[in-house]
Amino acid sequence: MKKLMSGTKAVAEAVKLLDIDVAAGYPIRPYTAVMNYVTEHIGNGDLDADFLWADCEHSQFEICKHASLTGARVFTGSSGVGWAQGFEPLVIIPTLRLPVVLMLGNRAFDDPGTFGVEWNDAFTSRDLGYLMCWPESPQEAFDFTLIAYKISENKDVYLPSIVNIEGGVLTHVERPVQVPPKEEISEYVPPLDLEFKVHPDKPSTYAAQVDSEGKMILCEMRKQADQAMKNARRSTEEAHQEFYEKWGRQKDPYFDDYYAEDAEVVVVTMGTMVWGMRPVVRELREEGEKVGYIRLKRFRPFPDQKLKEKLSRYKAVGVCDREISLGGPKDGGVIFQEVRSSMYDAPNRPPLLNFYIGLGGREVDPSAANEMYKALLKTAETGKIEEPIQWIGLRGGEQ
Amino acid sequence: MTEAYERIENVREAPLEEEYVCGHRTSQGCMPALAMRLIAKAAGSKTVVVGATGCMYVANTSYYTTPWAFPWVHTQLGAFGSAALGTAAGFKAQMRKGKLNKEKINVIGIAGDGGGGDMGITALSGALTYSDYSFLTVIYDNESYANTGIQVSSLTPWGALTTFSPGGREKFFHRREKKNIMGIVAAHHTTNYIATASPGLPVDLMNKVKKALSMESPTFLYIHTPCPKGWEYPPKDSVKIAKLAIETGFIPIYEIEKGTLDFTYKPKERKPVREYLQPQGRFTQLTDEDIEQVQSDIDRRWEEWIIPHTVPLKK
Repeated sequence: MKKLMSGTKAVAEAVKLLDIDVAAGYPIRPYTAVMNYVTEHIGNGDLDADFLWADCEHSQFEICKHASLTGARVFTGSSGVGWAQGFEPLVIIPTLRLPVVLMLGNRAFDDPGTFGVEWNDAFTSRDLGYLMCWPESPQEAFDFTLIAYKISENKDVYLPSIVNIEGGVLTHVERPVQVPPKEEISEYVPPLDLEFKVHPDKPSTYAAQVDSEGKMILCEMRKQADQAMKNARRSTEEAHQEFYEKWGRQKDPYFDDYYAEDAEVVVVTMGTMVWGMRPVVRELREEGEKVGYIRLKRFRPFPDQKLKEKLSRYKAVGVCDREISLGGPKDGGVIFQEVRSSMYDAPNRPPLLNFYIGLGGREVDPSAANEMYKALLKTAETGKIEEPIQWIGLRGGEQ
Repeated sequence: MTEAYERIENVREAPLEEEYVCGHRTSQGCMPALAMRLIAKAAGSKTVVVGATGCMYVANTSYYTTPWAFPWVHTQLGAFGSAALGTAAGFKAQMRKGKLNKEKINVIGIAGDGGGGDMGITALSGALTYSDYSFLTVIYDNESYANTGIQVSSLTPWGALTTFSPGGREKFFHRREKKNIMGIVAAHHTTNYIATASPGLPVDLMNKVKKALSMESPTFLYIHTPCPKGWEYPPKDSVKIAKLAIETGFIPIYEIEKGTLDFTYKPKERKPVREYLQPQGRFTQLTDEDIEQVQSDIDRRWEEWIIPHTVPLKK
């Protein structure tokens, strides 16, 4: 049976069915709704979990970090500057190799204040050891939450996951969601049995200081985390395969291709930006233009090898960034750098354009999507990159 | 609700078992280390400690040579409250849901005066409001950020020289009165038990740990722990300095159990504070006038405050 749900409601539904033990919340829009739903489940007796009302995000994430160390299955999350407020424990969760799952309701950083979406809150954490997925619909939000616990709790991985739900868009927009029965979910994600949980029966010192010579094992620990992230690629593919066999969805772990197969130009993007792009792609197709898009479902681990194979054959590729990375190579955005770097050893490197688009939650409407495809078609036609970095939908001309 | 606990009547009755053993590499005469040993002894093996960054992490808990016989977990500088709460919640939820054996596990969060009284005060306050969780929070106060090289914290006393208040021609010593951390904690009526203690009174300290851990609520222990390196006195004098702090009334020794105040040790007559200040190098620049000011602050805290050293309202 399908139920109408927003992205946040879908994540909370998954968390309920996963029978989490501990959650902690501190309010910040737009992620907050997920905790409203989690506490509703507790209030209605549908979820047996300890919910802690934290005094700030720092405490919120510390509570979850240490509850996770006891072997509990935990859930937490935040948005924008809230994420930044709790950054210290966020840094530690992956170094302790804890299978915590967080929902990040992507939100632009202040100032000035805004509830609109940008991806930079997530990208602060891109190098820390988090697995990151970017659902596009409430159904995907639900599915990816299950898959996140599945991969993170795999002992070959033991790294935390961030489920990115774009703020003000997917956090709140409702769509029908297919919810499988709890028994099937428990089969897919069996109860957590954390190998190194804290207990007096098995005394151990956790995170002892390793500063002095002879004890400097940090290098080796970093290498272990690196191996865990490599393992996560395999585990991600296995988790999707098993998911697909069970429920017939989410076959491809990394990409959602839209008219990409026979396209000449494609846009690479993530999340909900495709909502405004789909009708434009269809319209341009009717006009005979061979356009499409490739939506990245996951950002960490980054599917560079597969992406390289996919992108090599296009005449021009555009990369969307819903955030700004100041002072980087070519002054391009984060996804642009990742894609560009992935293409370095490709046999054929198509011209790459970078689009700064939808910042601060500005809607990616058909005219914005049109602007991107027009620029790409022109590049494909001439084979020349006139402006590698373009701001889409900017008001008032030159700034 | 309070469980019975076995009081230790004198030092010979203290448990022989050590949960804090060799391996730490703190200074000679380090009173935080002695406090840790007494806490561990009193708590026993069914204990998990979450320890914030600070001396008792960096200088004390090293890979290969950890002194802790029971589980010890590092937590961030400002997180002893939230980490203890999270640990207690993790155990509680899993025991209720049959995922862990039901048994009493002591959870203790420990921080220094900087981590506890400055950065960690939000997390401590938040944790202490959770009257339906049981854990003990401890601040060991060596009156500075000692691990990073003796910098000012809000619990550094007025007049002290530190590496952030180095004195000099402009007399740039610490010019804030020591933060009234007990007053702040005492305002949390959601806790059943808070106390002050000192390794200068080891039996009293151990009993307070045992009592705190027998309570069904969050609890708090403040421990005054002299630091020979930071306070500049010979390491052999650590116990003497700890006792002088008590005898001069600089540190009161009491407990508040469910709203009832009890001075578990009270000096018959307070010695002049000069006796406590003079042996310490960090106070050498104080003039007679300065010392008089310190004395009058102590007298005021004892005689004028509605609860000495805790509630700064006039009687």
